[in-house]
Amino acid sequence: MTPLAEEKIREFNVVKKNTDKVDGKALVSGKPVYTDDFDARDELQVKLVRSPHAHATIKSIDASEALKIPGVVAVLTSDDLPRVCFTRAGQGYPEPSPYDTFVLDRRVRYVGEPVAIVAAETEKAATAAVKAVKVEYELLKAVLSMDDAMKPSAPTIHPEEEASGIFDAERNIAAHFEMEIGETEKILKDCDVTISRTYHANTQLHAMLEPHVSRSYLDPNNRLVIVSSTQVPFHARRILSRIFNIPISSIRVIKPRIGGGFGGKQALHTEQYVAAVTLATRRPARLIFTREEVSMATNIRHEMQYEVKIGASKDGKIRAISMDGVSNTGAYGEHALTTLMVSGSKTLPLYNKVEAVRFSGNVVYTNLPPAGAFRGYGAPQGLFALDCIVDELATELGLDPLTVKEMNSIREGESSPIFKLMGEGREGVEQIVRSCKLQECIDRGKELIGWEKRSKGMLPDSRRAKGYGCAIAMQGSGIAKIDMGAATIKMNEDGSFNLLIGATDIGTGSDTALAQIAAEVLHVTVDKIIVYSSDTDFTPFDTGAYASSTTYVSGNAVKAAAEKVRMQILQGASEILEEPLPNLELTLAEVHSKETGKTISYSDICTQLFYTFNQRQIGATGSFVGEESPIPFMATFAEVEVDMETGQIDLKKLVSVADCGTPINPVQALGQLEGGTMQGIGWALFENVMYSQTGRMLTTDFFTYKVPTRMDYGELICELAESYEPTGPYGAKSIAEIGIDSPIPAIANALYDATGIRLREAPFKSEKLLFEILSREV
Amino acid sequence: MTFKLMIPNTEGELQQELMDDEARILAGGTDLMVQMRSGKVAPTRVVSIKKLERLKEISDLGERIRIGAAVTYSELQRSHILQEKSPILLKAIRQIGSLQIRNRGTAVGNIANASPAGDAVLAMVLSEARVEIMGPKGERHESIESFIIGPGRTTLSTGEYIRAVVIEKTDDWQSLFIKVGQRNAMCISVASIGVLRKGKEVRLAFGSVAPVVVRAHKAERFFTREGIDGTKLGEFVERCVESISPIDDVRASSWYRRQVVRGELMKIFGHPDVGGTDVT
Ligand SMILES: Cc1cc2nc3c(=O)[nH]c(=O)nc-3n(C[C@H](O)[C@H](O)[C@H](O)COP(=O)(O)OP(=O)(O)OC[C@H]3O[C@@H](n4cnc5c(N)ncnc54)[C@H](O)[C@@H]3O)c2cc1C
Repeated sequence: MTPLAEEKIREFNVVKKNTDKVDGKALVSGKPVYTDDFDARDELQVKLVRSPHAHATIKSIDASEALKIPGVVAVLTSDDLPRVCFTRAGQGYPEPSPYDTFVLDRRVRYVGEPVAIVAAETEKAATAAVKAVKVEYELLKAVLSMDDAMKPSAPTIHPEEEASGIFDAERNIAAHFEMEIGETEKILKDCDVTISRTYHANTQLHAMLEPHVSRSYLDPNNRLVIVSSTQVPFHARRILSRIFNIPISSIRVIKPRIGGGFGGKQALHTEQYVAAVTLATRRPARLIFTREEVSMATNIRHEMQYEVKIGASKDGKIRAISMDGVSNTGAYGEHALTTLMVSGSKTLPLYNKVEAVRFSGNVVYTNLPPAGAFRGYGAPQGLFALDCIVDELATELGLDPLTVKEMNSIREGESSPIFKLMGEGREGVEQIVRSCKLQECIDRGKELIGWEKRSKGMLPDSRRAKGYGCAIAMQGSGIAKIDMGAATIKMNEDGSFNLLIGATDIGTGSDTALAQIAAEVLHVTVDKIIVYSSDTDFTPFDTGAYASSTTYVSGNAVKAAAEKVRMQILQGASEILEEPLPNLELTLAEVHSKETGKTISYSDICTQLFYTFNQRQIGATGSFVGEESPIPFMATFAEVEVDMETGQIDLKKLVSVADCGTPINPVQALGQLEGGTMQGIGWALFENVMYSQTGRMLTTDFFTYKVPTRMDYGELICELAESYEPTGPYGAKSIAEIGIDSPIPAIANALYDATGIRLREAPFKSEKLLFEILSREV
Repeated sequence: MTFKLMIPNTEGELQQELMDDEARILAGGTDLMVQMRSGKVAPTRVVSIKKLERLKEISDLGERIRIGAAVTYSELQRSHILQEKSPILLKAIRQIGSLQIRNRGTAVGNIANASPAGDAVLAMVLSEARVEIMGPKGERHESIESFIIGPGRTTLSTGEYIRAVVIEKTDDWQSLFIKVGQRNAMCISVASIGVLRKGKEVRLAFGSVAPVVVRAHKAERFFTREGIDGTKLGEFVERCVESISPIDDVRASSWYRRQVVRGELMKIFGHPDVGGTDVT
């Protein structure tokens, strides 16, 4: 389905324009749009009793006192629930994550893990009941770091026999991956210069504004309806069906508007608990997490450490790279294998001219909060290591880091054997890079940061040191041959169209972008497209909002559906006007004959087809699965000033220029890029998750966990390069994740440029930097 | 979280409401609401002072300025007398929270909250502030340094409330206020430093580096007596550092806090035109 060449140069009517968000007015005017905005009669309020221990078995649970509290209706424990092992991860099926989770288990594996479900008439009664449930624990030794997890003396975190898909449960290894192309060690030995370094990226919280929330009720036919703040409604339906052993036909999942996810809602966190209550009591139920619960008891980012080796010839040509990693998946293995693989598969192809490359790693269980999907999905952790070691290599060779990155990186028309070897959880697909404007991104970024004129060193106050750094990044657009999206379009007699999509707008603006694609094909304005998304009863299937897939995968599905509808409109017009098809063309909401000049409006066509002439419904479904995963590229430049007396880091300016193909809605695309970049800056400089000695997360609120505000960093410039991806809808590929990949390495490189100190553990704390400055002076 | 909200119309009524041990004054609420939400405090009565017009006054007492308990930071920032006569307080306020916080928060709330990180407290310690306290036994006055006795602890007893704070005018001093934090906006600082300087006299106070905001009295006297030329500078800075006793917490280690104070002081006092470029 390679589009026509003329599309490339064509002016678009609707696409590549800043259409208003289709849901924007309702969102900003406070209309009831979110899950928690709706009420059902006789709804029960659900709260969870949570473990104060990082690792323990539950000896007994006594709910008798709790049940005496007026208004308390039920307390459910593991005894009341099916013992079905599953993964909360919302991924393509069968999932590449281990089945290692129960709705409630008799063992707890992190502080905050649910041990009982309380349902009451009021929130107050539920809260009181949570405190009144008595749980007796038998404490087990807790594993609180990656280092400890694989020690022979470490306790096994997942001894349960029902679990499946764990790589080596006894050694706490949830997943493992390794691949090699060529003879890496041999070539590394043979290089003029070979260096080896270790980089460590700590975890991060999603910090989306809307907490996890879901509601459930039985419809008049006793079907289970779940309204949820989820990124994966269709996966949620499938997983709930498995857990509770009820047919998919008896479950409906509805996703209303969502207040952000960033991957944090790409797993089941609340749905199973409300479902359990509704199934047990036959009553509606609601569960909304507090901020503390969102932080410590949903998912966090995989902490990863990479030992990297790189070898090059004197002139800067990179000959071999080896990356060996450990990733911390916490108590459960959701997205364990795939985030590890992505940290290699969405970074290493950047340097596709190597003679040999090796990648391996273990993902280990610990008794810390479970890690899961998070914007970037492993790629930023991998890129921190890879980009920085290229930077360090350049320094070692006495070459300019950017020059080394430029001369070794991938370009349009090229490929990498990694595309085939590393997919997500399995083999990938061969592909050539059809669109790559990396060089243009670099050139524009250099201009914007003033790269050629830059001066580094101490500022006149002889206290602050200035420096510059750059990083280049890639991502993907959906998971090839796995992520599938579908769209249905039906026509109404006023010439409007219902666009029904499984795609899940979680605040990203995808409803708007997809409406633009439909409007472009159908030659109408966007207001003629009525979007309804993510309701498993009414919209066709879509894997969900993740892997930077929606614009590319679901967008292509919308385009396919719209093209079918377009043909049906032309067909209808041909019958009514009695003109052969080749004479006809679409103009704005009309069909026009090039031969006779006859014109008929969409409204007339559909009205006649509904009521009077050759009666039928115009409508079609299209679906799409990517044969490849087109790669967006990006170049990022950072300018920092470091106060050498206090270690304070001042990010003066950060520039990111990305190639996302055609931006379907440029202002929304830039919003994604700026948002991702800001989240990357936060991770690099401010966001620091801390635990107590017993494994309790201490940074569960925004007083202690510092997400940057706009006042915390200097100038931010994001731009998009002119580009066109031939396999994308109107030339589009993705922009949702890539922004977060590069701030850490770009800032690390700038800090080195300023101070001569290489920080290899992120976030980069002023305290750590000052320590290094002072140790160097000694 | 259940409580009764009382909104007295007179100070007499306020006095009545406060006779309950479980009562708490609500000024801007920017500390109180946060603490109630986290469960740190659970008053059964919350007493708003928003209707007490007399607590909203800022008055010029000649050498001193009196600030009523209900005056918000934003009101202080707009006050001409403060703009002219207390640059140090304005510099501190500029760094407090965000516009929203400054629109609600009060300087007296900052004192009553008695946090070692209180930015207005630091400016007031430098301004030799006196706290005007009203209670069942009548009015009493106390210097801010003796009024705050520990983190979150003051000498207020049941039924007592702060009516106003009276600060010295310090427009004839050079002033400097520095806040070091892991981030700029809405940050509770890792360390904060305030300096007033007039010729050979200096006043120094530090925030977030001891159980309370501390004045470096010993170092101040050293400065006046010995000056800071040559090797004296290092000695002076060490005396300053001796006055602090930082702890490790989620924001920073005690080691880092000491280093920050040392580094900042070297910057301020080590600059060729002593007092530093920022001191105006
Ligand atoms: C987002 C955010 C950012 C912040 N940033 C900063 C910052 O940068 N620097 C800083 O110093 N602080 C900061 N704070 C803390 C807070 O804003 C200040 O301490 C503020 O001065 C408190 O004033 P308030 O009027 O809101 O006090 P309230 O919350 O109303 O009261 C605080 C305490 O004092 C008591 N109280 C109030 N008035 C009286 C009175 N007249 N007599 C006796 N007791 C009284 C209350 O009962 C309560 O215990 C921040 C708070 C938030 C939420």
